[in-house]
Amino acid sequence: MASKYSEIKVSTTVSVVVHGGNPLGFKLAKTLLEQGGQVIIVDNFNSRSKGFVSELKKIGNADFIDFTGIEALYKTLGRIDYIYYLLSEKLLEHDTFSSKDFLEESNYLNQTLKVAQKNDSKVALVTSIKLNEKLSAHILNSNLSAPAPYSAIELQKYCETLTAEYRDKSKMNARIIRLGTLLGSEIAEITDPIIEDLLNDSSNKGFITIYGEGLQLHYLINIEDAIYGILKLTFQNKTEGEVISLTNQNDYTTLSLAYKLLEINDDISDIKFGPTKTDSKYISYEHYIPAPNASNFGWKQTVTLEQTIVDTINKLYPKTGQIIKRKREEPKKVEEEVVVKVKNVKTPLGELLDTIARPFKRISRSGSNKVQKFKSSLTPLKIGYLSIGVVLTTLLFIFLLYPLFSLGLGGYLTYKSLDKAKDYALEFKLDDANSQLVKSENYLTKISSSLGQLKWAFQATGTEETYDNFTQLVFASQYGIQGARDIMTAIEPLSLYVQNFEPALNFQTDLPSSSREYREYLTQLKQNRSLLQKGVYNVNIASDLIENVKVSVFPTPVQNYIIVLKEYNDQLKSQIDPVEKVITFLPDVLGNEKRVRYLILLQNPAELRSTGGWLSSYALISFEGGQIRELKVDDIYNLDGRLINNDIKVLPPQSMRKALEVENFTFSLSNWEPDLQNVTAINESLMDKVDPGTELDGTIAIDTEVLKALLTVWDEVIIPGETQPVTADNLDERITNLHKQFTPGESLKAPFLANLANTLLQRVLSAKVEDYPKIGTAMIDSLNSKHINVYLKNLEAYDYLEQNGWAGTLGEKYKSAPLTIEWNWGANKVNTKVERSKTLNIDILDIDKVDYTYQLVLRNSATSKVYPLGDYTNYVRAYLPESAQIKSIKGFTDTDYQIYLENGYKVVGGWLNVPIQTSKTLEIKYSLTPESTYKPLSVSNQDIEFVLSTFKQPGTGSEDTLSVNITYPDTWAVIDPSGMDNVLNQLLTQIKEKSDNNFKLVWNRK
Amino acid sequence: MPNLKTAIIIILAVFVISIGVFFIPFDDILARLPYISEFYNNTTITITSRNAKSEVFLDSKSYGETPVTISDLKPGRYTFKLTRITDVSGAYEDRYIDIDLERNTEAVIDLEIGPNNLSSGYILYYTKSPVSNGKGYLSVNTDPADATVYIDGEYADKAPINAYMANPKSYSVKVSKTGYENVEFPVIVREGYNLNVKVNLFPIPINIEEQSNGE
Repeated sequence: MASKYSEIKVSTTVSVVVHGGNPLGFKLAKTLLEQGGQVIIVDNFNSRSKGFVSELKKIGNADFIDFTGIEALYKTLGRIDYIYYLLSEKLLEHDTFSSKDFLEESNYLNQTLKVAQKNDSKVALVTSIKLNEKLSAHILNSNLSAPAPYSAIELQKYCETLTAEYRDKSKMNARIIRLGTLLGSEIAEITDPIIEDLLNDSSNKGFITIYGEGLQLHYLINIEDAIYGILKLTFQNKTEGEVISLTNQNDYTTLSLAYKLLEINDDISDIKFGPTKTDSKYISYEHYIPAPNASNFGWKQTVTLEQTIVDTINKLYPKTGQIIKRKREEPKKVEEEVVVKVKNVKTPLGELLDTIARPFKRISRSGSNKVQKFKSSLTPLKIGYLSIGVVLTTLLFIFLLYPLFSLGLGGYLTYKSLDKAKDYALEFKLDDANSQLVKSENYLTKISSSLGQLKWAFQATGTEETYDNFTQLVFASQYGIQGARDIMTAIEPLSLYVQNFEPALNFQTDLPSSSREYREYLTQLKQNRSLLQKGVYNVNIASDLIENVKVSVFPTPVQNYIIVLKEYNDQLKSQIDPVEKVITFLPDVLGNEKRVRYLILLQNPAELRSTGGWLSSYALISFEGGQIRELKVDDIYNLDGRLINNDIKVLPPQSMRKALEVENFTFSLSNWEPDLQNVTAINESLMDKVDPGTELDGTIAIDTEVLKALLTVWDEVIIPGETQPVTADNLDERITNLHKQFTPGESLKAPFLANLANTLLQRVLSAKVEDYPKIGTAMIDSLNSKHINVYLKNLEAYDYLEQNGWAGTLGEKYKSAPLTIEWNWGANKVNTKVERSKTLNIDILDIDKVDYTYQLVLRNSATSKVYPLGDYTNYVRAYLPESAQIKSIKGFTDTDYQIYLENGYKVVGGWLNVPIQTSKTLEIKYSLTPESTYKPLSVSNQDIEFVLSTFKQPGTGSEDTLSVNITYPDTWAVIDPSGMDNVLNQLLTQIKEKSDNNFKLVWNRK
Repeated sequence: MPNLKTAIIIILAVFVISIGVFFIPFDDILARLPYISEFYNNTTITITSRNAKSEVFLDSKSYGETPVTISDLKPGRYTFKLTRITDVSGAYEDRYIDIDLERNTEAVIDLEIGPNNLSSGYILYYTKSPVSNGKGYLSVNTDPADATVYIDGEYADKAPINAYMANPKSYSVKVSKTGYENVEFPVIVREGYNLNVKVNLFPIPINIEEQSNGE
C-alpha cells in the first residue's frame, strides 16, 4: 500500500471520503474521479459499499478502506489534499448509538483531523441540519427531554465541537457543512420521515395526510446540488472556519410541500389533517435559525424543487413516477407556448413593476409562513408578554416617537405653508394664500396635540418653562393663522374689485365704455366687516401672546422661526389696522348705496394758498355701485367764467374781503378757508348756482407733488398730444409754461392735466402687483406730507381721515398750539424759495394756566423779481383758541392786523410781506387761563396729559423747521416725554416739519 | 447585520406610521361615521336679542325669531345674519356675525340691533387652546375700544384683554365706558379653551328734556 500511494503524481489531488459507502459518498467520489483525482473511500465494508466501490473503480483511481484500516491508511498516505467526512450519512442511520459506536466514531474523526492537520488538508465535516434543528429544539423547549447521551444529536454535536476545536487550536483549513435532507434521483431513501410519509401518501393513498398544522420546516436539497455544494465549499478558502447550511434557500413547510405534490400529481385528491405526532422523529423547532446558507459563499441551487420531487418519486416510487412523467410531458408543449406568449405580452413597464414587486412577493410568501408559524407557537404566557410589549410599544409611539416626529415635520410644514401664503397674499392670490393657511392650521393642530402628549417629557426633564412657552407659541400661531384666514376671506371682495375694476369713463371721453357695476363686491365687503373685525381681533391676540413668548428658551433653529413668525404677525397687524377701518366706509364712499360725487381740486403749491396752493384746475368724479359714472376735468377759470357770464355774485367772507379787498367770491379763490370742510361747502354753494342741484360728498385737494410722486413709480409717462415724456423732474416746468400761455376760455392746461391724470389713472389701475407697494407708499407719503387732503362727508370716513391728519380740517386738537395760514397774493410762484422757521415756547404754569410764545420766521431766498420769482406778498392768519388772551403781537407789515373770531378760533390776520433776500418775523404771545373754555391739559387718574398737535399748512416746504420748548412746573415729573429731550423742567425738540406732529406728554406730580 | 436590519425596519416603520398618523384626517373621518359623528357634531349656539326681536339666518336659511338655539352643528366657521324685526323699514341694517364654533362647546349671541350700525350685547365662543397648568383663557374685546372690564366686580383691565389666564369656573363680566350703557353677563372659563368675548355698547341717549329742564 505504501508503495502504491507514494506513486501518486503531485498534480493528482488526493481525497479521502470518510463514510463514503453510500449514495452521497458514491456521487461525491464519482465527481472527484471524473476530475482526475485519487479517491479513497473509508467506510464499513458491506454489500452496499462493495457495489459502489466496484462502480467507482471503473471510472478512475478509487480505493476502499474499511474503518478497521483507517489508522494504517493515514500512516501510509504521504499526502491528503481533501478530506470529506460525511458524518451525516452515519448519523441518519440511527437515532441513538451504543457507547462503543459513539467512541469509535469520535476516535475516527480525531484520527482524521490529526492527519489533516499533519498534511495541511482541507477538511469538510458534513453533518445534518435536521439534527442541529433538533438539538436547538431540545435546548430551547423545556417540554422536551434532553437528548440521549449517545444519540445522533449528541454525536453530531461532539464531532462539530471537536472539529471546531481543532480549527481554533491549529488554524486547520476546516469547515462544517450542515446538509439538508437529500432528495433526487440517486438517493436510496428519504431520511426526513415527514417527507417520506408525504411521498408515500402521494404515491400509494391518493391523498396526503398531514399531522398537526403542517408548519414544520424542511431543509431540502437535491443530491446533485449537494455534491456541487460540498465540493465548492471545501475548495474555497473563505469558508475556512465557517459553519454553513447546504440546502435550498427557500423554507418549505409540510403544508407547502403537500400543495406542491398536489400540483405535481393529479391523482392526489385531497389533503387531510391528522393529530400532531409526538414521536421524536417529528420534532422540529419553529424558531430554529440555520447557519448561513451556502448561497452566501457562491453556491447556487440548480435543480428546482419540483424537479427534485419528481426525480425522487421516480426513484423511490417508479410507478407513480411514470404516471407523473407522462402527464407532465403531455401539456408541456402547450404550457411552454403559453409561457412564451405571456412573456411576449409583458410590457417593459410590466417587467419593471414585476422586478420591483418580486422581493415583496417573496416577503409576503415568507411572511405568511412566519405568521402561521408564529400563530402555532403562541402560548398564554407568550400572549401575555406580547400584550405587554404591544402596549409599551404603543405608549412609546404615542407619547414620544410620534409627537417628536409630528413637532419636527409639523413645524417645518407650517413654516413653509406660511411662507407660501405670504407670497401668494403679496401677489393678491388670496385663494391660494387661504389654502396654504388652512394647511398650516391643520399642521398646527397636530403640533398642538403632539405637544400635549410630550408634556410628561418636559416635566421629567425639568423644562416646564420651555413647554409653557412652546404652548404659548402654538396658541399664538393658531390665532395668528386663524386671523390671517379671516382677513383674507374678508378682503377677498376688495381684491376682486381692484383686479376686475374697469372704469366706464376716463378723463378724455364722456361716453361710458361699460355699464358694469361692482355692487356685489362692495356689498360682500360690507357684510364681511364682522369677519374682518374677528380677523383683527385674532391677530391682536396672537400679537399679545407671541410678544410674551420667551425666545431664549428655544433651540436656535426654533428661535429663528419664532422671530420670523413675530415679523409676519407684526406686518399683518400693521397692515390690517388701516384696512379694517377703511373697509367700514369704502363701500359707501364708492357709491354702494347711492351715487356719490367728489370735487378734486388741483393746486399749485408754488403759489401758496390756504389749502395748499393756487387752484388751477378741478375735476368732478362720481361713483355708483363702485363704477365711475361721471368724470371731467377743467380749468378752474372756465368755471369762474360761468359765474361772470351768468352774472352770479357771491359775497366772500368778511375776513377775505378785508384782507384781499375782493367783493365777489370765485371758484379760484374758494380755498380761502384753510378747512377743507368749509371749502367743500363754499364750492357746493357756488356750483349749485352754476348747476342747480349740484351736491358734493367731499373734496379731495391735491397738488402737483402727488402727480410727481406717482410719476416716480414709473419714471416717466407718455401722454397724448405731447412729444416729450412727462417726468417728476419736468412736470413743474411744463405746468408753468402752460400757465404763462393761459387766457380764460382757451384749453391748453386742462387737456394736459386731463391727459396726465388719465394716463396715471390707467397706469394705477393696470399696475402690476409688485407696483402696488410703490403706489401705496407714494399715496401714503403724499397724505402724510399733506399733498393730498381728503374731506368726505361720510362720518366714518371723516373720522378715519381726521384721526390720521389727512382730512384737511382744523379740528379741535389743533387748538393746543397756534397755527398759521399763509396766502400768496403776489401773482408769482415764489413759495418754492420761501423758507420757514417756527418756534413755539409753551410755559405751563399750572394745569389750567399756560403761556404761549409763537414765532414764525419767513425768509425769501429768491434772487430775482422776475416771474415766477419775486417778493413774497403774503397774508398770514394765526389761529388761536377762541379764549386765548393775547399778550402781544409783533412783526406784521405796518403793524397792521385784525383780530376776529371764525369757526371756533381767534384769528389774527395781517400782511407779512417778505421782499427777496430778506427775512421777516412774526411773534405772538398769548395765555390760556383758568377762565379759558379751551383746556390744553387734562388729568386722568394721577397723570397730567398734554396732547400737543401742530399743524403743517399744506403746500409749505418739507425742510421748514419747528422748534418746541415746553417749560413745566418743578413739582411735576415727566412720565412720557413723547420723544422730546427732557432738561431740568423743560421738554425740547427741533424737527423738520414734513407733516402734522403729535406729542402726547404725560407728567405726574412729584 | 440582522440587528441593523431590524433597527432599520423599526425606524422605517415608525416613520411610515408617523407620516400616516400625521396626514390622515382622523377627526374628519370620525366625524362622518354614523353614531360617532354625534359626539363630533354637537356644537350649540344660542342667539337671543335684548329688548327687540331679530330673525336669525344661517346660510340663507331662516331659523326663526330670537331666542333661537341651533344644536348639533359641526365645528367650523359660521356667519349668522340677524335682521331686526321692526315696522320701520330701512331703520336697521342687518348684522353679520362671524364666529368659530369649536367641538363640544356652546356659543352665545345676545345682541340688540340698533340704528346707525350700533348694537348692544355680547358674543361668546370658545377656541381650543393648548393645555397648560389646568387653566383656561379669557379674551375680551369691546366696541367701542378702551372700555373698562370688571370680572366678578373687580377691575380687570381696559379692553382689549387678550388671552387672560384664569381658573376654569364661572365669572361675571361687566363692561362699562363713560357715555355708554353697561353690559353685564355670566361666562364660564373652561380648561383648554380661550373664551372669546365680544361686547358691543350702546351710547347713552341724550335726554333733551332733562337738559332743557336743567338749564
